[in-house]
Amino acid sequence: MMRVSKILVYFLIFIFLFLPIVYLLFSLFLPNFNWIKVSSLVNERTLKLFSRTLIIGMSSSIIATLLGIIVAFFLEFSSIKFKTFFKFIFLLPLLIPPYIFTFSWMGFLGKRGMFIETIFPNFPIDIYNIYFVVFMLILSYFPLSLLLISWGMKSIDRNLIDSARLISLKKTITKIILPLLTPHIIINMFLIFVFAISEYIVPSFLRVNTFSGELFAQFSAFYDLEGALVYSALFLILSFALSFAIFLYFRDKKLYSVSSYFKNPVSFINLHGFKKFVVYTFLGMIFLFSFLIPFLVVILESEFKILDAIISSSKQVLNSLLISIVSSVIITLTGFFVYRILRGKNIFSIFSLPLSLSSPLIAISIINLYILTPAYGTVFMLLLAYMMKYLPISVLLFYVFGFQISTEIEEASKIYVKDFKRVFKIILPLSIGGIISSLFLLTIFIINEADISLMVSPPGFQTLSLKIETLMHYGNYSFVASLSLFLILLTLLLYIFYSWLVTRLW
Amino acid sequence: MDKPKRLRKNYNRFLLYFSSIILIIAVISFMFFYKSQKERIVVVYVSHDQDYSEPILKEFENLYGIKVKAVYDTEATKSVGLVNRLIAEKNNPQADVFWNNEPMRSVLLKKEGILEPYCSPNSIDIPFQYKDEECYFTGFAARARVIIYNTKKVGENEEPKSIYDLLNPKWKGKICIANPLIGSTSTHLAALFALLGDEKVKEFLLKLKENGVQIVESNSMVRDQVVAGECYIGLTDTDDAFDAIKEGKDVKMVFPDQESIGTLVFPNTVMLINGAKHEEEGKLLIDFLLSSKVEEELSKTALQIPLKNSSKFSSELRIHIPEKLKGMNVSFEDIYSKMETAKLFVQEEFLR
Repeated sequence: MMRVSKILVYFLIFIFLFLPIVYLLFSLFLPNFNWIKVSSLVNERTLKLFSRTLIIGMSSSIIATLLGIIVAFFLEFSSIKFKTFFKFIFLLPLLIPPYIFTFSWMGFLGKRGMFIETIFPNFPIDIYNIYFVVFMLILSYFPLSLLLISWGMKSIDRNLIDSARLISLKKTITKIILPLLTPHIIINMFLIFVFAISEYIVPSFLRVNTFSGELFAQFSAFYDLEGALVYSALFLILSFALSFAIFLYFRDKKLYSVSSYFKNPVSFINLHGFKKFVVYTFLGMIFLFSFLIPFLVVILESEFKILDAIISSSKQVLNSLLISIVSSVIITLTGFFVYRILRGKNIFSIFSLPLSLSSPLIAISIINLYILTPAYGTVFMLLLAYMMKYLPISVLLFYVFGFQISTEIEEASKIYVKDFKRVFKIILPLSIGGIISSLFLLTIFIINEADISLMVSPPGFQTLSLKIETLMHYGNYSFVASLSLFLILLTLLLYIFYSWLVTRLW
Repeated sequence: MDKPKRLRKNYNRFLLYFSSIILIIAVISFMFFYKSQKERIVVVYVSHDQDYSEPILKEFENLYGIKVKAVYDTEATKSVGLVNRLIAEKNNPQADVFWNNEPMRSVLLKKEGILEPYCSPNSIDIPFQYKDEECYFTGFAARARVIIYNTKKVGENEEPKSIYDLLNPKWKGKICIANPLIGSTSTHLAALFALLGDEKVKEFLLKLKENGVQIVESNSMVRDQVVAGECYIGLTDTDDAFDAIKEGKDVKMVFPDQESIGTLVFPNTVMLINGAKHEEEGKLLIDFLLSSKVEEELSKTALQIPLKNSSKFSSELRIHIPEKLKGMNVSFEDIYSKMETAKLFVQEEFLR
């Protein structure tokens, strides 16, 4: 029975994730393959752009993960107050899409920015460089890192920590906590790296040329699918090599711990006086840079036209809500069951591969495959495209959280409880971190997604993010800011709803 | 908890999950069959500014009782664009009409076999240089390339009157242009290549680079940089410059090279898609867009230049447009043939 399920799941993975791109290669790329043209695309200039993109990806991923670890340590294990409040506010930056985030910072520190224009006209700061790109990406992705690492820390068995503390604090951290967090740290670094190297709006706003910008230029300037596929292949090879290395690293490691979600946190780092002040200041600064400044700039730039903006975009709001909720629920459920059936296999490498495909390539491959089917021209196409783009993220999140579920618990539960009940009574509650994270992150990603929506949404179906991008290009900043503000609030409401729903159910 | 209660609780929970799944499937099915409604519709892909195009399409809906289903787009790098979608959909076109905000991608679509010729009766009084001779696309309501400058930074008699004035060392590091790979900036450069020859334009661009030209994301950002004074001078489109002038910012615009080669005047273009599922409705929409009424509306709202002899200029447009605006004497086909050369050169020299 299990074998049949596995074959079926592999078949579905192939259909949903790989068939569109394989079909694109065989139907369009290979029949027109021209080696001379391909080799001319990889030259000194593009390699320079590629190495610059790698630097951006690595720096953002390492620093955002480090920041996530430090903040998570304070929030999970220190004696500071208002931990729940801090945890909540540090997730808020995730609600701001990176392009709005950068747009806001440009509105603050850029030359048309309120800080430079009104407060310090001669302040010597230049935001149009690679350092600021990395800074923007760190602030954008740090909450993701915090989310994954915090859940990792939460699920470490308290008894293990208590026993280790009898020896020393240093050993508790180095011998217990960090080793148990390794999967979270590594996968988090991998995810941020992949997101950062594929990001092209942030660098292009800040006038930094990157390889992902070059990839997009193949589509938008040269209409050259072949060129785009060649550039994508470089990202694919890189991504596969990294994911395979990670798979080899994890293959024989037993990193699980009995899950202890929702138990009272362990506070073993006691802070007093000046140290406490420094920590609060540090956390306050992060909140200021990652959310408060961009959020306030969005509010000011909106010129308080939010009501007008919502009224004029009510249809887009409904469309975005509908598609993001339906898609995130379906993809999360699929991700959960795929992970359950295939766990233990090399799913990390399988699923990390489609992650590095750019959105336009996903959209074009989906169009190419389904163009002659009755599904084409319906909203179902969006679901298929989102499935291809976001199912890997969902599965990887379950992969991360799955490390905490000991196989012994499952084996033991089999004695007393039947299959269906076991899934709902034992497995789902233990996977709750993965479920909430997947629902939350996918909703955010889908609601902010524009490239795929533009290419495959049926005529007459416009999403909110698509409208924001369109208006942004024409410089209608007050409307852009108003709609962005609304988008942020909408995502926040969805997050609260999901958290309530999931905790009520289990 | 006793056994019956526990069983009932489990049963309720199962019902909840089951009904949720059914609900999701129902929603998907609804979405799936959403398009099967029988009504008179026309599907239009629009790359013109949504703020201005949406009311015009609404007017068409009210006038003809035909539902308009639109997909909007920008021409920016941040989106892959409707042109890629039209090419990908070649074997099963979804769009009936494409309202493009410039002509170059229309030439590309013609060459890709995406378009169906349609000579609209309303295109008769549109000058021939703005329409395809085989009626694959027709131009209307044009924009032009202009030099925008900050009046606080550029003195009264200092304003540049030609694109060659941008090479003046006194503006070093203070000139902005939009990404030259996309949009009207790329068309402008290709037009220069076609008109002046490759070598002359390459020399001009290298000198522009030496003079510290700043490349920004879009034409609206060029305008913003000039308004902010970060750039003193920029190359942009009339509609972007007008927006800043209307808002009373310290900027003015100049139509360059009126004594020599002229400036690039480029219209919106509209075209019928080959294999359109609602061909009749599509033709009606094209006729409507090529009417004087629409040109006059766009002249009023988006300050675009009417091309039809029968269309009137809006009063605001009259103030800013020279009575005899000199456009570049170069065909769209010639510009198109230089697009790749121009793009490859700027990519190599400017986007490193």
